[in-house]
Amino acid sequence: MRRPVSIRRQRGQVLIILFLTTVLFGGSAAGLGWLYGGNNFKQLRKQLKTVVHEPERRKSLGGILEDLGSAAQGFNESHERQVRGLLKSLERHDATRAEVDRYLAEMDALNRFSRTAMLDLRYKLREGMSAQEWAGLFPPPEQGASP
Amino acid sequence: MADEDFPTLCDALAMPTELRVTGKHRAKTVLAASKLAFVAAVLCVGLVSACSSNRAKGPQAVASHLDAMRGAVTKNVVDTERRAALLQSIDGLQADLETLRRVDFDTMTQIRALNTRPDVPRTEMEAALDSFDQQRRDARGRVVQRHFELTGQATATEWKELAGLERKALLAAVQ
Repeated sequence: MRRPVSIRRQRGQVLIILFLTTVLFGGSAAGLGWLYGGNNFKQLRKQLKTVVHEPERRKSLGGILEDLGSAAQGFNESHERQVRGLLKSLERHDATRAEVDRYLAEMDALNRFSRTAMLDLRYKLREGMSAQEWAGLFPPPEQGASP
Repeated sequence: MADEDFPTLCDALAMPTELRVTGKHRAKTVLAASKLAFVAAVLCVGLVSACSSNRAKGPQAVASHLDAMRGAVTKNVVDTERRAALLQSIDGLQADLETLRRVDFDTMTQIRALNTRPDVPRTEMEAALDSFDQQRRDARGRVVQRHFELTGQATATEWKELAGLERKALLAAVQ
């Protein structure tokens, strides 16, 4: 039986949200919430079962999802440390622009590194799936949302 | 009773589960336990109300923290010229944080849309990410610039009253 579209869409966005938490060097707390909540990543793995039926291939793709989740978590932990340092610096009246810029440069470097790693995994995942399966895992986002 | 006779909440948390209470100290310990229970209850009530009052998200939360910051400026900055300048910078910060939020949202929406295309070339994805990253760096740069405008206008003592509120606004803007 087909699941309701809205739930499928929501599940389909999970991986890309994990992906974004690292891509966005601003590191939104909302993104971290998705990541550390755990449930949504689990839902994505369940969704994989509904779109890929061969057990061997599903297992292999599940492994890539695991790698993606672990990488995203690792990057986010590093990013969180950077954000803590930056916020501490901003709270000090005597902090200099150079000091703050150093934190931002570190964040940008992490962003570049994590972006490459996450894109590698994204395309590795894509290689193992048909276009139709990919569309099942990542349906188009719902229209009409606002910031 | 002197303060040092009372265990603090930290002491209470460090207390062993088996307390050896002897005659002379029994009454004092019971009193201390009652006081700790009261303190714990007050803390729980405080935490619950703090959590429920911070439910606002996004622009509302940013606006609320910046309003608190304006209030702190009005209360703590006596110099009228600097006060006016600080209030103006807070207005600017609000606009800059809104831009940053919008850039984040647009970035997320557009990357999601790109990702749904099974055959989107990696070069296209990378070019889009480069462009989004640049937009975000620009928006972030304006926020940082505004921060230094604020610290330049406030004294160290005044900044102590404002820093925590700015932090909350910054965090709310990226949630």
